[in-house]
Amino acid sequence: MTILDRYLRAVEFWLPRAQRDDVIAELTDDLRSQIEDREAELGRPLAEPELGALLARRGNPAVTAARFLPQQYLIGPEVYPIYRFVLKMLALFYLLPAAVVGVTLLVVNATVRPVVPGLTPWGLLDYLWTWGIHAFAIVTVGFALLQRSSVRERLAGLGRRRDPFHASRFDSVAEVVFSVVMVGLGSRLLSGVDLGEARIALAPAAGPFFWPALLLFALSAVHAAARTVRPRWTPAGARVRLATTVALLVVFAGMLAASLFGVDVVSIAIPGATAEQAARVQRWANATAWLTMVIGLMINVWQDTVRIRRLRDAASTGGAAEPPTANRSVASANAR
Amino acid sequence: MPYTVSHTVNAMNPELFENLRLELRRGCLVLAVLAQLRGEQYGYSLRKALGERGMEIDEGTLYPLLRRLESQGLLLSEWREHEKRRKRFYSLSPDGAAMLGQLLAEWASIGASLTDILEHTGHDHP
Repeated sequence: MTILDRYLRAVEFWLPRAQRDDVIAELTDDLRSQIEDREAELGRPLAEPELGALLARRGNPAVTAARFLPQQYLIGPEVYPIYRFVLKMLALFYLLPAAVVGVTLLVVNATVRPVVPGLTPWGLLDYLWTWGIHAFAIVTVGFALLQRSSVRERLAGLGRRRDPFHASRFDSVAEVVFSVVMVGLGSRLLSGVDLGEARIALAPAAGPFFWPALLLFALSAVHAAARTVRPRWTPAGARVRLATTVALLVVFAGMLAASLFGVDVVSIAIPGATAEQAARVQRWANATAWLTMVIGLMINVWQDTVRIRRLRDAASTGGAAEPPTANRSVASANAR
Repeated sequence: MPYTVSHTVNAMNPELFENLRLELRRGCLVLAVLAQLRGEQYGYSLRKALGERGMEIDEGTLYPLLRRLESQGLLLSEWREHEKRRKRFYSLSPDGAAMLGQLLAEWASIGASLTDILEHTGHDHP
């Protein structure tokens, strides 16, 4: 096997099956043509080191293969600024407060009285590192999925002039479904849910969080259902949604804080597991669930705030994006 | 004046100049490839023909561009035996020819605008 064959074989490895033959045939022809031209110039066949130098100029086989393919992103340029924003919010509103609270507890433990027995600096660092990585992974996977969804195209089109009063029926239906699922899930947790041999139920500490969360999800479902019938945003409607989202964020942040400091909001019974294993599963499951909700709600708060600003701007300028007459008086009144 | 200093430093920065030069030329590559493909060419001969006319393009840029233009319906391609080897020949499709006409008009318009801007801001052509 010649050095050229080895190079082509290496490029082939990095190509998707569907395009492999086509790309390799074209690359082979291009390389052979280049080699022939060089040999004609020199009046002799190329020696192996010369051939190696020519291939080296083409670059690493993986890079050569990638150049033949369309540009691919895990998180593309349209979504990346929002991804970075969410990571910053996460650091600011999750990791930083957790670190501050943790350090404070360490200091109080050491100087006043042991409020959280067993909390050590190493344990705190381990906790922050684990959850930092965990949160980073969740956000990254979420945005990678977003990159591949139709939402990305809508984000890319944000620069275009849109009617800010239009409420997407798809989004409203998705919100109804999500809220109903959350209400249903919450109601089932009251009596406990069996997952194989494991049993998930609300812990006694869930009391302050459970009913407000259920009520807010029910309110959210009703509000979204109304928008599926009449797909228009009004400033008042947008404020109701923001208030609901902020209230949910407070409830879920409370659940997250509780689970971070060892108070279980949901208890998981796993037969056959040691107390330590059960505690670990419980801690991860609790914190993951609440963290996912907190991140999702933070994105919603941001979207709601932007929406309210756009509605206010559109209502005050009375531009093309103004709502129909019936809405106009409400919009203007709110703008005032 | 800080502006003058930074302007002078940047103008003397060969790396920055090279980046900007490549960026400028990259915008013209589609036009050059479409224009050159008014006559049928295979990848390597197209690259050589462009290079001989001062539009050097590396293979890592050319082949993805050819594939993109073909998927957009602006080029046609056909595998054929030539000089004892199978080669993929590219040519302009009817849509590609129409697009080339539109792009050439745009190119002329950009040239005229730039000349106008340079004349009205008192700069000479380099």
